Amino acid sequence: MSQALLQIENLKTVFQNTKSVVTVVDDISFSMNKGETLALVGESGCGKSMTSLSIMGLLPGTGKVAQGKIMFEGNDLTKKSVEDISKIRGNKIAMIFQEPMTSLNPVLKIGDQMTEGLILHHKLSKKEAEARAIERLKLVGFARATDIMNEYPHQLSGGMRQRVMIAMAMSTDPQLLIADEPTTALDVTIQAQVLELMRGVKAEFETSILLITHDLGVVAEMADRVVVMYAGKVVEEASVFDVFEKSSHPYTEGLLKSVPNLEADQTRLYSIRGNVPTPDEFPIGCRFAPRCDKAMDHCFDHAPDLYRVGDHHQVRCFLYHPEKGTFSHE
Amino acid sequence: MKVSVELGNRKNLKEEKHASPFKLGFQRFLQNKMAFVGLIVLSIIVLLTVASPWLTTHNPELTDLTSQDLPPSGEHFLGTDSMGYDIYSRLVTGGRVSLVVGFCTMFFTVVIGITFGSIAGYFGGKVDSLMMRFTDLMLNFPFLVFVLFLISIFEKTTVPLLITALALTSWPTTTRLVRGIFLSLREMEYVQSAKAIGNKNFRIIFRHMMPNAIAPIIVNATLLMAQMISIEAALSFLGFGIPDPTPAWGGMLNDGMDYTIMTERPWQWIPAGVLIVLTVLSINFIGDGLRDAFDTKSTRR
Repeated sequence: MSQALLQIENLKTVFQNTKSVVTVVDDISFSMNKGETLALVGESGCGKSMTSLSIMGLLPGTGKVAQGKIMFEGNDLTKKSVEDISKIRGNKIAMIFQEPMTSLNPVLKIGDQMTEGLILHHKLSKKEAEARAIERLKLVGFARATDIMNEYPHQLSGGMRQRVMIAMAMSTDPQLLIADEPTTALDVTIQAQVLELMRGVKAEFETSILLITHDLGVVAEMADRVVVMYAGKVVEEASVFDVFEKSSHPYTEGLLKSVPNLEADQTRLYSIRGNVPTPDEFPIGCRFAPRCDKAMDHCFDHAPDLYRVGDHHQVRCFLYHPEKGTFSHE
Repeated sequence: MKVSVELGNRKNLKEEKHASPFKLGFQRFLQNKMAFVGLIVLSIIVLLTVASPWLTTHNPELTDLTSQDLPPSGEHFLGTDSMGYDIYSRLVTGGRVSLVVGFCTMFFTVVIGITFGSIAGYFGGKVDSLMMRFTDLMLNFPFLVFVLFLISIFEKTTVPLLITALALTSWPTTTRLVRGIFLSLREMEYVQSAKAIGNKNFRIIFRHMMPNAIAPIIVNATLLMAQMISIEAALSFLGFGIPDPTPAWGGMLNDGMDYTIMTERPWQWIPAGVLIVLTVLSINFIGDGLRDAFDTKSTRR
């Protein structure tokens, strides 16, 4: 295997106030290769967004990376100065935010926002940057790209804004695109367009995409590999086929079961009981145990490791422990 | 009928191609009648004051002891006061002090407020606590005592002194306002996205956040200017304003503080009072109009 584009090793992100330390991302490791789409899946509050913000160095407030490495092209981002990080941000790593209605600045023209990164990172002149921006806007399907450059965000619809965001993120030819729930705020027809667009962009520029989502439909459509997160930990890592065909962790199974199925005759949609615990009250044992249908006594006071169940397929669950038989099953 | 007219209006707004939010706001502002009247009245007052050297009939700073307490006449349009000053000439010139003090105080207050507020709000954390505690301290400082203290040290009140004293005591409110705006803007996704593009802090503050914060700041500044003009007038009225012979509206009110003048020679003090009220009122109307035009949350339309 060639060197990974992004390799995250034992990443731990904490929020610290005067009284307590809250761990929102706990000991996460995964890697991404060039041109690969990795989906980070999980319910709200399980640490997906915090992982992406850690990579970007954009953790809000008192958040900081307490441990671990974020290796990007062989350099550890956690050890870089603010200066160096801002050279990488928006240049080699770009980000698309969730809410297209608020992620464009209402008082700046689209053109001004589009060219900013190019002028900043590629040292292009205003003219060159504009030409490149127009080209990228055409790429994301704006026929009248030159006009769009002079418009303000309030003149565009949600789908258009998200397309602008993608064009903006792609303007500097990033190696890694982090998309934080890029389609959550869009309606279904636009969702399909945006996904199609991201796939096109990926094919054309060989960009790796870190897709953060809770929508398994999006995962099936886009991802090569899937990392399932729960309560700040990776609970399953597998190829997209394995996740849908041989999902192993009870949590992943639960997530898959909660997707509406047109064929099955369901009167009531399945849901995993309970909620994701907040970071300050994670259970001592397996963090999913209180909500797990298959939980054993052992699960409540021992934390499982990641166990291999196949090629590139790991699961954090005692059901897959090599000596599983030694636990009492209740 | 009315509906169609309104629709027509709205269409006009929409048809304006590539209108920035500011332009749209300004168009809304011009449709506000009270604000528009305020703008016109204020313009007239400013014009009068600026053109005063050509409008005065007598030297406003020269007493003429041979013509005291004259009633309005062809020579003295508004008569003369007990010192023999020509009231009309003093009235036209007197706006200078009010307007200059009002504007400059507002300007410096806003400059301090923006600088402090944006830094505190953007960086947050320790920087914010430190700066805000200092601001709170100044906010609780007895304003009038401070102004009177400064003025009494320097014996003679001058315009720069007045501006300094007022600006030094009025910046905390503006700072708090700006800080509040920046605190909320900081959480906006476009600010995150500006960071994600790799912008540096000060560029984010000035290019990305300031334009979004400027509307409420302008509204605040306008109302502040009106307030400063009334404070200046009040200080002059109390005798802590710009001393004679420099004409000032508040000072002219002070000269009218005498039973006989009040009852028997109203032309000596009513015009100055009316001008102060008109100025403050029209600026306040403009401020309200700006607020309605730029604050999208305001329901009063």
